[in-house]
Amino acid sequence: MNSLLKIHKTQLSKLPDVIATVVTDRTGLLLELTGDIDGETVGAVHAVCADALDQTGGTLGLGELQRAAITASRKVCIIAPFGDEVLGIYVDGARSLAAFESKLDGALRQVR
Amino acid sequence: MFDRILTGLHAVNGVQATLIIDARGELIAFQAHAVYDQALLQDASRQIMSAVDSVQLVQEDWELVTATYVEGKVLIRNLNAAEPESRASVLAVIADTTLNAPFAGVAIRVAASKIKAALNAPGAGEAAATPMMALASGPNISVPGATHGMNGAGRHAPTFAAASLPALPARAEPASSGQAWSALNSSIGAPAANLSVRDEEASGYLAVCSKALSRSVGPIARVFVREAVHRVCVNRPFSCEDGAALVAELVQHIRRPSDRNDFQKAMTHA
Repeated sequence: MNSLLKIHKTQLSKLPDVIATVVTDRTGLLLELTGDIDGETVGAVHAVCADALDQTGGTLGLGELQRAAITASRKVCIIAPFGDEVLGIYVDGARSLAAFESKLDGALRQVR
Repeated sequence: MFDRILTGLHAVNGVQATLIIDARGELIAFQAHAVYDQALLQDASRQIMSAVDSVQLVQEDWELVTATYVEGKVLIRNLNAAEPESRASVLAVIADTTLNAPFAGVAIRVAASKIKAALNAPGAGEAAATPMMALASGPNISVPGATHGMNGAGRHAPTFAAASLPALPARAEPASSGQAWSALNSSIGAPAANLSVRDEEASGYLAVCSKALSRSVGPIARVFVREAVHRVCVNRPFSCEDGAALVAELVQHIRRPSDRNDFQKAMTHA
């Protein structure tokens, strides 16, 4: 098991305010899932979205995509490409995103 | 129409370019530093809308996408957030790493409200029936340190369009009759994402279609199928008679000609 999948099980899915988590490969194939969510569908969408945003960054000369936060009225989805995988995390939208991202950074630093 | 609004956003430290993009990915107004020309921003607009289309599949009520890169950020604000079943038109802000994201977020929210108000104002739609014509005669705005829509030939190309941003018709709810294709149901998507099919045969056809398409586009195939069924059937259950129209819609998602042929062959025998 690679380190992202390991940390996904042991830490990321246990972060406070996390509703669901999905890990896919770059083609959108579901690898891991926690929470009540249609992982196959949203995982595929995450991969496509990450790919399109990555291309946007390339076109604009901004470099590699590190993370995308999609804010909706009730929840926030954070998509983070990670080597050959794409991590998607759904968080309660009422909470502070900055505080959550700080915790997420701490957890992901162990993988990088 | 949008000149002062976009200029206002450039007052935020770190902002390099501001764009208004319609639901088809066409750039209809922009203001940018010289490093970003119109052709490049048009390419980026299509890529941004590709990302937005995918986001909309699972989060129809999305408001803001904040993409963080090694050397900057792109913030994308939904201009149709109040109409979640419409395809989104967006305001996009490209910024360097010095951007204060929370401050920019407030400025973008204000700008988006003004753009929506401008679009809803009487006569907004008449101002530019064709965006490019309106752009060519658009005002020449000057902001220190920035150029505005200068094309490669050095003349002022489309800068600010007074074009309307038409929202596509709202997606109709599936008909209440018929069966649901549960394979496509999503716990994240809205209930309208559920599909209605006429009978078992139609359900089987969709499963075959999704599998065949997935050979070239991957797991996103079922999402494409769901969206295509909504477009083809509007507000009635899917039946096998809709198959040809569905395949015609889906084949547009396949880039390689050989994969297109394989998909069409597979569906001919389905």
